[in-house]
Amino acid sequence: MSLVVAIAILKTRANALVLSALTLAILAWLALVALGLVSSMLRLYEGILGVGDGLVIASKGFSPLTSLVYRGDVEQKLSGIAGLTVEYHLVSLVLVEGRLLVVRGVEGLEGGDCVLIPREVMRELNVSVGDKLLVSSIFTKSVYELRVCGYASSGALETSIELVSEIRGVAPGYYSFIVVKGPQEAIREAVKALGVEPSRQRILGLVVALISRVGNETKISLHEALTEAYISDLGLQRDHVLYFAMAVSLASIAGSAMIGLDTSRRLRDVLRFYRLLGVSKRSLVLSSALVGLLTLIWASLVSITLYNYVNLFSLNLLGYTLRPSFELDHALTVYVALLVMYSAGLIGGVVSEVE
Amino acid sequence: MLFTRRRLYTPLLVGVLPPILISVALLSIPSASSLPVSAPDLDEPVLAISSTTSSRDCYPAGVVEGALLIDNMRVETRLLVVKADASKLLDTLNIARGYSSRSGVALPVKMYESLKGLKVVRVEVDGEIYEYPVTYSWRSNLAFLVDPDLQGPLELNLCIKRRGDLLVDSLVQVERNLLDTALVWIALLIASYTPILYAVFKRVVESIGVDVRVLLELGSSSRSVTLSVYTALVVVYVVTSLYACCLGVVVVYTSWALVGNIIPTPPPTLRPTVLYVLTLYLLVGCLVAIPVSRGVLR
Repeated sequence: MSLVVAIAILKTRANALVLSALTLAILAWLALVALGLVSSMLRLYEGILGVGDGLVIASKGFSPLTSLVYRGDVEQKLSGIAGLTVEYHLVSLVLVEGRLLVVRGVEGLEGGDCVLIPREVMRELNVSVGDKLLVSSIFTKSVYELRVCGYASSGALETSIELVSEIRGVAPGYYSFIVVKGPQEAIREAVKALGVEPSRQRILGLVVALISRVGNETKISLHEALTEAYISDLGLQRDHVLYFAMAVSLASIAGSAMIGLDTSRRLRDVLRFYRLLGVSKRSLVLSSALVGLLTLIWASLVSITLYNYVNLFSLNLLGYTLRPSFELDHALTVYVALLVMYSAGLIGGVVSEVE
Repeated sequence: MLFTRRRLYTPLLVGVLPPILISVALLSIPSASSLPVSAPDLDEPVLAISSTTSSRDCYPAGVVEGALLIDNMRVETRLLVVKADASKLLDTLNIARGYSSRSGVALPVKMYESLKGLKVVRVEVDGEIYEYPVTYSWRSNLAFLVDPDLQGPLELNLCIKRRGDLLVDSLVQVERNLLDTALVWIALLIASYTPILYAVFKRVVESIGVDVRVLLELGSSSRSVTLSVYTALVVVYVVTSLYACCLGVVVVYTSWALVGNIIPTPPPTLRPTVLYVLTLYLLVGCLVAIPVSRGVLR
């Protein structure tokens, strides 16, 4: 019986349901975007620097773009651990046309003045391959004229390591960060060799070890993400930022309870009709819940489509474009909250209408 | 009359609170200038070159093709030319401390080292030959020529900025970017709350349906009834919105005070944009109330 009533509701009140579903879809999309953007921001440096899994060793400071770590120190500590691959990365902040951008050193670039630029930055600076760029270092008072010789694969400008060390103004052996890769056991050994007590080790995916010197003493702090490791010094805790984003997202879909209540009002006539025909209250509530579930499924599909195809929200930081990232646990939280709030409104409304 | 209907408070708050609370919270994120910026040598000068004009500590500049004439040797080079007093500019930049001449050339490090002891260099630009004292070397692939009497159009600007200011500027840019994105997001949220507001108003109006019918039967004109319902809706809506706004401010500052007790957290910055958003939301509500109040007669 519930199914018959549900089909009747879908046939007779399709317009009202479509409007409700559309509003729910936009609310869910906005909630997903808010969470996705914050998640992307919390991985800003990982994105710009192309850091994935492994042990990242860097120094404490304003950002990994400004701090330096000495190769010799790390090599000495990691010597004797088998199975490790060590990559040395040097990056610098530069000014191009008044814009602060990141330049990273890469191997195998021909010519001393060749620079690769991300497509979006190239468009923003209005330059093309073959043009010349004036690049000012923010660490030395130097200005370099570089030739654009192609597109960069990462989110930063790319040029030879030698040139980046000149721009950065550092002696050989100094790098921005060091990435150590290898089997779990070798990484665990490496963390131990850096001086972190075994009980404090969290070796899962990405591990960031920040070295800080207080006088002659060297301290190591472990973090789960590169951006998190640096923003905590600015007083911004990753968890607090995420909780804030979660609160904003859930608050933004709170209105879905009102949509549920309004949907029940729009179904009033149909419910009354079937009630007069002798359909039980329980069947009517069940049929309304079924209709609500279908509306929610449709809204979820539309919101995911909007999320994937409408690129309205992006942040441009240091020449790198951040787009909302999709995370399953965030999406589940949003949709479960939407289901709970909408259902509460709809069923509460239907119960009072039926009674 | 509406203020006495306590059952209506919940839907009203559900319809009004979220967009305003969220707007207040998002537009109160800590200002970039309140963040503690720490990096070595924040006062060090940095050369910023761009084609846009800037205000303070800027000089006309350009990059030209030229040649250095040293004895019988001719070295082709690109020059960064700046129209400024060399003694002042090079001293500010720490390239040549105590340099007294008004013009001069700083050579790229490698070139300077290969021409060790060179005091004066002849520079050829656009076929004209000028003589300049060699000041010192600088890290670049360009020769750096500074002369206050440079002729010809210079299309660029060379500005001297503080490193610390640049880092703060980058944070300010992030803040501006975030706020712009937040405003678009809030605008869409307000738009998507329009049907919710309509539903809330509809519910409010339905709750006073009997009273309206009584008023009409007592002889009140339909026009005055509609107007009264509209006024009542707007008043209730404005009061609830203002309450939501105040609540938002209290929530933001209380949360900061609580979290700040555990971990040092930068203070929230309430921006005037909140008022524009509130005005927009009030306007949307006033517009939505029109069709709802007209529907009271049906």
